[in-house]
Amino acid sequence: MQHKNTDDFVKSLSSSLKDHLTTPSKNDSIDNLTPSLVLNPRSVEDISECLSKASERGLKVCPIGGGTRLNIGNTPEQYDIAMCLTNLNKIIEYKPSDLSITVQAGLTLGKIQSELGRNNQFLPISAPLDETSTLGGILAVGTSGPLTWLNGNMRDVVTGMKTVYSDGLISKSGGQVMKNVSGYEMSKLHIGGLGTIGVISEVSLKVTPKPINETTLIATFAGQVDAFEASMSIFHSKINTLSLSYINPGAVYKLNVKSIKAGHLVAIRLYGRDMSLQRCVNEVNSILKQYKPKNIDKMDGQDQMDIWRKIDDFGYTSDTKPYISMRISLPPTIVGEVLGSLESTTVTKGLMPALLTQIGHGTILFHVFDVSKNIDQNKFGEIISDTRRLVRQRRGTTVIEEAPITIKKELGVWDGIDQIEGAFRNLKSNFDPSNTLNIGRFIPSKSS
Amino acid sequence: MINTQLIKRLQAVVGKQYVLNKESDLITFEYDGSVDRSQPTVVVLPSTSGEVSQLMKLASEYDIPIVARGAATGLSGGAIAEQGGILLSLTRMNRIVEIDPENQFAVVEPGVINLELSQAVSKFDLYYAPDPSSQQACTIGGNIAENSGGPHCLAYGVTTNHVLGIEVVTADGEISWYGNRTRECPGYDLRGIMIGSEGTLSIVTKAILRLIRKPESVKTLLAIYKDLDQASAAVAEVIGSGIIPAAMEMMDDLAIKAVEPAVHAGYPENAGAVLLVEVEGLSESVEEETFEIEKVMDKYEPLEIRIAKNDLDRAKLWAGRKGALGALGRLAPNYYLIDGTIPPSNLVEVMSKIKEISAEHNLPIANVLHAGDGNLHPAILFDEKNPKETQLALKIGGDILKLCVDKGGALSGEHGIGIEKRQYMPYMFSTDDLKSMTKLKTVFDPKSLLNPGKIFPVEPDQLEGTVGQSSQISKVGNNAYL
Repeated sequence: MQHKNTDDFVKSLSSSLKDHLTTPSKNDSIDNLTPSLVLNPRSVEDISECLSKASERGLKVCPIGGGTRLNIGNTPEQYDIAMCLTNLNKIIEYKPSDLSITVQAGLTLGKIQSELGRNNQFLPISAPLDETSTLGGILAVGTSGPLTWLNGNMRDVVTGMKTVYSDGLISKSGGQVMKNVSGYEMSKLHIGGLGTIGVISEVSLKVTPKPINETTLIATFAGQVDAFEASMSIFHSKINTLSLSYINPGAVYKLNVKSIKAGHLVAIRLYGRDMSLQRCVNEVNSILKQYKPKNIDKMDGQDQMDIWRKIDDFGYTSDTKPYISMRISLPPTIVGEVLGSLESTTVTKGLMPALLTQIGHGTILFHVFDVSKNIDQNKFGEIISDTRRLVRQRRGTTVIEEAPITIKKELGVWDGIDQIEGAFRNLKSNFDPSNTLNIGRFIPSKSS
Repeated sequence: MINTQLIKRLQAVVGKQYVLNKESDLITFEYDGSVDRSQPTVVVLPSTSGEVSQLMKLASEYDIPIVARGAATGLSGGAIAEQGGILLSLTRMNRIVEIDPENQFAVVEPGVINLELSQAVSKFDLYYAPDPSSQQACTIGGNIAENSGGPHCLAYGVTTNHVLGIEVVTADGEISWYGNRTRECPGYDLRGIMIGSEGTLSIVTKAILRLIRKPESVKTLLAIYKDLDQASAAVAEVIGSGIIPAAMEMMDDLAIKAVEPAVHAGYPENAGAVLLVEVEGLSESVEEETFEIEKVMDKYEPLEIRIAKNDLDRAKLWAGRKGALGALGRLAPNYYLIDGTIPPSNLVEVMSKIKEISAEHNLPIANVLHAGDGNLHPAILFDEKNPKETQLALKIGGDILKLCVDKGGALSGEHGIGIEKRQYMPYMFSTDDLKSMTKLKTVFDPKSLLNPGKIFPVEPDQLEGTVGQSSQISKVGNNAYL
């Protein structure tokens, strides 16, 4: 039956879309589910046609960008068509003097940053594998990387968005200006929405002047408490940082950077004009020394870019792909306490956690690597449940970003959205009544 | 619509003294800072989220509109009960519930006044960044409803960038939290959807607000130019040169003419425009950036550049800008304040077009603007006693907003659409754009009881009997509210 619908769907497509059908590959699979078709729209109208025709035939569509984080979210309940958006990769408008750029959603973050860089501008966001990750995909996932300047989130850089809904409706909200209170900010439904409500096709973004100078200090500490307290002191100072990360020994080992010594690491990315940057370096050095680091290294130029690239990509490259990964969000001061508990709970179970934390932003990335085949899988369920309990008690949230499918299905990847499940369900049913888009990724559809 | 039985039930929820339905009481709630006015049927002043929830359930049971209101300083008619019904005044919910200086947030009720929050957290070396011009009176709930900005939003962003979470009462009376105490929250950003929705999707009963550390150093510069074009070009070049000042404000000759006799800021009579720029941060970066900004400003041949030497000087430089709108009364009995945004690179062209519009219609327009982010506030000066002038002021207002949209901007930067600009929405958004927004409204307020008639355009045949600009045109003269 499904096959018949797919054939009928293909027949119904206009010739320009038919010409851009491709065969599904492993890269299009989500939690080992492979679609029947891969569509490669080249315009917003193509997206509209695909969605309305798929929706009329009961086919289920998953929008795909660079495919770097496809497994985030619950396993799709049905996956017929992969809609690959990488052909929508144009810059629609860029006016450096207006601090605004409008791009198609399939453009990679790397390309956007490179274009902005020509005018000494950038987007103050980061994402793993930015040469492959598309802006649409990054926004659909909606989580921040280490670059959290002024504690900003993905949502803080978006000023406008064009989206396509499953009935083919093309709609925009916001615009290209920095301040705008004209109607509802519909983009907020789609940032972090995992493409479950609509497909992001075009985005306007607020860009920022690139810092005149940057430098990175990396301090190694013998213990987690000193490292965390040193980084919190920096967070509470008047020093503005581009990034401030704590990395535990398990993650340092896996990062595998020759110039970095083993231990508990604090990495601080500083910026400014000549005098102010020098002041920041001096002040951060002085704060760090109060906590008696084993050493402090200074990195500039390409060296510092390379280390931050490694931190951005951590957990997503083939050599750092974790067996289990969780993203935890907490009020910043509670992070230290939770880090300690996570470390001891995991070690007690005979596993080594790799922890990477954005200080001040309150995000912990928890990874477990290199798991032996004979390990008791129940241990992971226990670690996840213990972590969720611990985090929930401290008013935070935990999301499983990577895990074997059995664990994802058994525990569900989201925690902390149960209270607003009703609103999520209403939004989904109103904007995607045919249940076409990425079904079951947040909450199970009623039919399941 | 509202009978004795309902009044008694409302009184049972909040107490008799907090339900107002006498004509003499209602009249004080019939207007906000905008051009329109309309009396609610009853005013209710709850003091807790639980009471708001019960009131919402009653409104739903009786199918009565419910309009949330803070200090009513809004300028687009958002807090006016256009269709009557319950006006929910949230000013009793004015407690700062919690301050967490270590995690840099505060939990507040919606009736807390914007400036009072900054004052309360000042002892922790923190402040709340969004600073609307009305910050001495406006409430956090109103700021969230309108996604308010302010002069210092150029560097720090608008309200939505500073709200971590909100407690809301939805149309069915449910109390829910959207967002929380953390910087990231999984799923659809319901928090973000509510901010700027002008009270049409839910009623905010608590907010968790991000606080930021006070800057170590602040420097304020005032550049006086002979021509508006020079000042506009200087703004565009500063922004384009890689410096984002904390604030960048501008006034034109007419605004200066009004302000100078009122506040004696020392602006020369022949000044065509003044530019007020504030730089904040580490003292070294403030020095370095001030130097760079001065260099750019100098290129456009200012008559003078002044740099405040101390807090007193700084306050004096700001006095002109802050007193501008109040001083306009010296030039005309009434002004109609427009709120449009444009990309900063179009500033020279748009400002000169506004001057042309003013000359063409022989109606003066004073311009006060958040120049750095392209948020224009042209004030059209007129006399409401002259019906033709009133009509003309409204028409010019619409023309300026359309000009902003044509030049890549938006209908509103910080005042919201409300009643004032709803008929212009189709100029900026297609039918399909508005259709998706309507879907969102239906999800959260299926019976359209929450602040009905706001944001969305009203069919022309439905305008009869409503307030709003279009109907005001037909009521010019003694009945005009401008």
